[in-house]
Amino acid sequence: MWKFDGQNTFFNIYNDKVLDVQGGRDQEGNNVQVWNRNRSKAQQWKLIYVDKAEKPKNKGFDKDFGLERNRPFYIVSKLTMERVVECWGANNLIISDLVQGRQG
Amino acid sequence: MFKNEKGTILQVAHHLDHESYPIGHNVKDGLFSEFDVVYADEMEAEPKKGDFNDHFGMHIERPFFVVSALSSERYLDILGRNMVIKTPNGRTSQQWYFDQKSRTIKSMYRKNWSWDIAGSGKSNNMHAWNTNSKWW
Repeated sequence: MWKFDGQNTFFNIYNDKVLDVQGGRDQEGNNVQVWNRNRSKAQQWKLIYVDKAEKPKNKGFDKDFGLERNRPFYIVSKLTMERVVECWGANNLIISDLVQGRQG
Repeated sequence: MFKNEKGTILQVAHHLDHESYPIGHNVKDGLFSEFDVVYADEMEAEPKKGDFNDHFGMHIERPFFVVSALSSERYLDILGRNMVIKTPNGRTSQQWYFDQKSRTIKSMYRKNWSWDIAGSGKSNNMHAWNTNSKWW
């Protein structure tokens, strides 16, 4: 059974261990575990009710990534021929002449 | 204390405060043999959906995200059955709610899954498992 302390910690009421990001590694898909309290950031959480959460934006400029959301773009080389970046096969990117509508 | 004519006392078996533990009887008394009688018409009503449960610190059946304080502010999510941190994606696997009936934190993705310490509480790993009333 788990309790939220109203600030930033979820803890098990029987063993008093807390919810913790394994190894404090802030990586996509990293495991979450129970651990003894150590007051690190890995054990601190925000509880945000869905009805109060900001809705994810799917339009407009994303400051974190420096790009417009959901707006297709070309990547054009600054070399003389100003070729564009294109997928080649499953795993490669190449530069090639622009043929509008073809580049993937 | 409830005592019969032979002097045996009603008590919680093995003196363990665990959900679904049996009630037995013995001649020894202690905290494990103390009970309150609360008449049904005076019993405090169970809190309802939307109410705040003071003891657990969460609103009842009100979905929430759990956001890590690490710098990327990833959300608690489910990968297979494992609990992990992931970039917010709006999926129900990142939404949780407090269930008053089971006193567990359940997943909006699978409403019969709750937070659970793997290995019946012996491991450190957290996963989402079929809801039960065990301490882990």
